[in-house]
Amino acid sequence: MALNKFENAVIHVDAPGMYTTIQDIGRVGYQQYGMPVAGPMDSESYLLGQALVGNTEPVGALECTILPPTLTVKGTCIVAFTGADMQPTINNVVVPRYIPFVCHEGDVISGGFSQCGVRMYIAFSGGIDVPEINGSVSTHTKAKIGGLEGRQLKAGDEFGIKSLTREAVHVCDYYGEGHNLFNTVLYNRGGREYHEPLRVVLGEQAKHFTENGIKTFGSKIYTLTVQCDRMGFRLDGPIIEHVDSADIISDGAVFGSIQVPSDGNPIVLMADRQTTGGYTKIGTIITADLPRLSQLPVGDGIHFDIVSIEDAQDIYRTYMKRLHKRMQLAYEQSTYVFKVN
Amino acid sequence: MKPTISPVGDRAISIDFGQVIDPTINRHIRQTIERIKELQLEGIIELVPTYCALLVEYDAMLYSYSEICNIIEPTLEEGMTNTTNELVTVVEVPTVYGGEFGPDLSFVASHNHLSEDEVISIHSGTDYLVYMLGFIPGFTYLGGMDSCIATPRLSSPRTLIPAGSVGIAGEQTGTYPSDSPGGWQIIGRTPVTMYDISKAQAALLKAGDYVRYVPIDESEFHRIKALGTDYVPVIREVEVGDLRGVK
Repeated sequence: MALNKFENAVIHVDAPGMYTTIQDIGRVGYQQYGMPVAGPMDSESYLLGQALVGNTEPVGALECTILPPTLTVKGTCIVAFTGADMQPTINNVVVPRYIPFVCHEGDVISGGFSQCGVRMYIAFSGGIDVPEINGSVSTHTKAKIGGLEGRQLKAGDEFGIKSLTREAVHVCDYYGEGHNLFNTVLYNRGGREYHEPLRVVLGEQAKHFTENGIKTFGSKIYTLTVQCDRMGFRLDGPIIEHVDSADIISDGAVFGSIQVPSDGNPIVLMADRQTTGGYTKIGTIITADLPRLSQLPVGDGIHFDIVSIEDAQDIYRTYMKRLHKRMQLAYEQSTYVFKVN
Repeated sequence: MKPTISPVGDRAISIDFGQVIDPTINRHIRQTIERIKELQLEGIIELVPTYCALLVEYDAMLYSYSEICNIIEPTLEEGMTNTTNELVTVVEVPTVYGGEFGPDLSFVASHNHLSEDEVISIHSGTDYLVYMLGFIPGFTYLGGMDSCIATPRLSSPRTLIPAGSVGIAGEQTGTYPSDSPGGWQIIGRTPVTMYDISKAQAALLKAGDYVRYVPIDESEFHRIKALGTDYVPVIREVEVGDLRGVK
């Protein structure tokens, strides 16, 4: 059986999950007006999801946190699950991540508490159809902007899926466990394991820290506290010593910048960060290590490795080339989808 | 001071123009932004100006750190000389002072041993430079308020300050772009939308503009409010020498 038209699908939210928001790649270009970027915490898993359902541009998907929502599909659409292992199900059959599935009228998508990782993405062919604000559908709950009324999903919500016409998609039956579909190339981030150090480029404001402070930062273990959300991860560990003041004249920051306020404990700025901040920033975590950080749960320990800007950019280029290759493979895979009977 | 460039992670740089809040530095940053835009470079993703720094996010697949430094370096020369006939943008923000719209006006007046009318004429008699936007969409950090109306923040913040509220916090003044909790002394309210998400140019103000608060009465407030996003703000090009109350 082959399909090539996916029209007018609607998703009904039966249960919202723990904290589920609509995200695309974020609001790029509006930080000069104070608008935070938002977008996915784990952009790598998000982008692979987009490619798996055949989206050539990154569009609205669901970012689930710890427990995914339960959704009923009206119409026909293709979905894929990427990121954290929440044991996703279609009609109560556990399905693998990193494989596209077709859902028909009445199919129920759900899952359980995450077995590994914190954030899972549910991608839909065509993308979620909600109004764009400043070029993006990404939800920023603190600014009450984007997604559905600027908030997380709640039971009873309904949203449309944009229509998509594409080359023929071949549908195969899914036989459940034992049907080996595990795609290691897509699944493996490559290179680093979960608890290897996060690599950091020191910034100009590193001069606000003592030699001892920098040494502590680069060698000790920091724990993710309960104050970790889409805005930032507050870490707890040995005090990172300042020379004198922890305050600077507010300036810009990026995803991964590490602020250290006067209490000496670092805060990593994440997807929903404010555009500017007034605390000294010791450095910034490299792009390739951010998806890994965003999947770590509260209570986990991390440590940092200081790398030069030259090494960081070598790693960046290798990482991006590999990611594009994986996205290419995922896109090729999107023409063969599975169906749960 | 010559600005210095440093890396912010693997795909951004920060240009430090000197750690002071000063209109000349702010102008230098804006001039740099214009020069970078004139280069029409591919892969410049964000330009985020702040009080005395400029953040540039770039595509690190196109440029290495040393390459982007070499490209940006020539844009940092201070080219413009200070002239009083240089044109700047003044955006009028019509504001009702006092009453239910400005519950703290009387406190600001008594705190500074002034009448309410004196506070209004001082506050609306200065054109305020927009140094930067940040904190929440459309929130402006303004400079130039007369210190004779400076007033400390509320000892206990209010849970809800309506959008458009004009406040004073210490020696700062500004407008709340959206409903939010806050501790500023509220002296008035504007009916104008500071950040209109339905527009491509969403923010009414940008860094480098000047804000002029224009006193209006309640009927004018309701007339403008009723126009909603159809209201066309009054924006003037003014010579620097003609700005009000700017030292």
